[in-house]
Amino acid sequence: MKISVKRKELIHSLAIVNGVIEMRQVMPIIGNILLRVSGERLFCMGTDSTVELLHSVPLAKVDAKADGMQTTVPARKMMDICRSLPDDCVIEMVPSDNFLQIKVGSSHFSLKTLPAEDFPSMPELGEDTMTFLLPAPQLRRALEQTHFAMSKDDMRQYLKGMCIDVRQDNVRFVATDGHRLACDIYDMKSDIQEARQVIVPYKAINQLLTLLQDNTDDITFVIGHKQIKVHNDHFTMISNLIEGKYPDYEQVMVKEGNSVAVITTELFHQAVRRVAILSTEQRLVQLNFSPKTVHIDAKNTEGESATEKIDADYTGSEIKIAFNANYLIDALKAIHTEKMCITLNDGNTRSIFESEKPDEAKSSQWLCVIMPVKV
Amino acid sequence: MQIPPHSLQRHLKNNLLPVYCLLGDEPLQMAECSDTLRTKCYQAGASDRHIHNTDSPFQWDEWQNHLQHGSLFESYRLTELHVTKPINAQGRTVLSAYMHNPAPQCTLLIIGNALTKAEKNAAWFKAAQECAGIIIPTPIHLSKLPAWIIQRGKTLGISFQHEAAQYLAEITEGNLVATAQALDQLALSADSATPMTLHDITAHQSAQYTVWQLLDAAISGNRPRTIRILRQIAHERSPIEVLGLIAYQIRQMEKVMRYDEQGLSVAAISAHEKNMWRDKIIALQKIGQCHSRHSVYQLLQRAQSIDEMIKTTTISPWRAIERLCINWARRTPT
Repeated sequence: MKISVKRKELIHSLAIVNGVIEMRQVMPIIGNILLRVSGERLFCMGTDSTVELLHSVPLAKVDAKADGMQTTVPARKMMDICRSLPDDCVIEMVPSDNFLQIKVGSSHFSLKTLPAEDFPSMPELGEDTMTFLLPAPQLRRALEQTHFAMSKDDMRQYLKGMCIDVRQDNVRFVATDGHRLACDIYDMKSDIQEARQVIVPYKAINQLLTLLQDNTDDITFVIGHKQIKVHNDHFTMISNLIEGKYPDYEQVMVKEGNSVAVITTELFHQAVRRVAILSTEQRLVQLNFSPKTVHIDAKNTEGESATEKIDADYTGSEIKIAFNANYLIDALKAIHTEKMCITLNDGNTRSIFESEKPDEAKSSQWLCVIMPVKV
Repeated sequence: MQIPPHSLQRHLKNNLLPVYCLLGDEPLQMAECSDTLRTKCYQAGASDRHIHNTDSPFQWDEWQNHLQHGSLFESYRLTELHVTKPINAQGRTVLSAYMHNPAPQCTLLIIGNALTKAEKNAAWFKAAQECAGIIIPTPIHLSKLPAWIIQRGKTLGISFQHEAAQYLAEITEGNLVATAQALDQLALSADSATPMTLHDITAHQSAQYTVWQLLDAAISGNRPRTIRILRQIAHERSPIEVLGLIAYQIRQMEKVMRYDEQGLSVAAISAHEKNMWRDKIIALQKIGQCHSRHSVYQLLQRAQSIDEMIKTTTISPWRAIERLCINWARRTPT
């Protein structure tokens, strides 16, 4: 009974699955990775009890006797061994008693195993679930354009994740930390009968972003009341949902002001990055909107300052407003159109950043709302 | 502006300042004042409170950022800064800047221990006196506690005879939390029509003290406390149990006295007597210096006769135990 896998493919799978495994855990088996042979594939599974990830790789050589074999090995050691092996080798694994023998050329490793039966698995999602499909590129884009706004504050767990709001004609990905909000609305046709809003934890979203890097297939979402399952042919991720009520995000997406500035995205992005070098430790930059121009200023406590002027299509009244430069840069990175719009009211209320015009050909809409800083 | 704790409710009827500093060491008033302030902030529109602890490592920059940044979902915020260790130079600068320019639509509540004289001279605190409400709860002196009990009793719907209030003040020893708990318990069964008497209070007192607290009081030579505890536990404990522990402790004291005569250090005694803590040995040494071998012998003999009295007669032994304790609990040599 022998399991043969190409090192390159196995290491890719191990790297993905290792992402969910916590280095410090109370149960030794949670630090292990579950290896299971099924048909012509080797499945690797990792969990931290809140997020479970299953990823598969094809076997280099199929051994009928190995079908159904499963065991668990320490994730970190397995990864380190695979990393240390030559790039294009084939790894052979043979389970024996309480050890997994790993052979590559003249190298031989014997890794201690724990019974696969003891490996914890997440419970089933239950019956009342909602299923829909999204193309991987669009999903990746939606997550990339919103994930930066998720909160890292442990005190408000309900913000430490992404809200997925599924409606009959669209699905919304919303992230906020209370000071800024990013929302991507993806139009889709589905037979969903009722809307459902869930909060997916930070860790699961980041893991999903990694999984989507090399995926072009459709991704299936199955949403239960306490868990979410995201899968396609290559991976399956199950995550617990965050309990709690997500804030009413729609109320902050309403445009308060009518002063709109249209700016070249890249010019603005670069200017903010440059000026922010001499900002305070709070990364404050001030934007002065006046007809046809925007001045970007920053100064720090040592008296140093930076200023830059860029052209803008703006006809409103003069507005001075300060933002955290990091918030601006995160939002500007997510805009992929040549021009962008900023909708302002005054220097004390929220501003809305979005692509210049929603492209009719595209089925998604994105915006970012940022609260100014009081100076 | 300085706001006395008892005037806080009145102040909040018409005012809500951008900053309140609640600085003191008296837990009951601290808890009640902070609750009052929170309630007012919730009434003013705060939906949540943001708590920041100045535990190490506290990022003053991030905290300042949080205060300066408006919130998308809250038009008004309550932010609490729990000062758990002395404020460092950066913290003082940040606070000072904030006091000069507090964020609109936000109430900052700074909660911490009483400030030292040097801390009171810090620029941030001087600036706070201009824009903030400073509330400094202080412990209530034992002589003023009966009046405080009577006043607090009124709010709970119970009245006290002065003697009863004084007794309650004595048994709670100025601890306001304990006094407030006792009042809450009394309020549950009190008859609002008749004032509480001394008898009502004693009848309501449940197991407040342990025999070990009695022994500690006696060893420290605190006779009034010893008697108070003994009279309290006399209602709940059997005299044979209390007497047994007193006699055991007197024998421990006698042992330590012998070690002292041999010139052994505390560490050496501790090595011989595994059951005796270092602090206990020091305490027993102190009280041992107030006794002679003869007086210890007399104490043990007296304990033995009380033991016989308990086992052979129906006479209450508590007066005798009290006398034994008075003779034992000394601060000066005879």
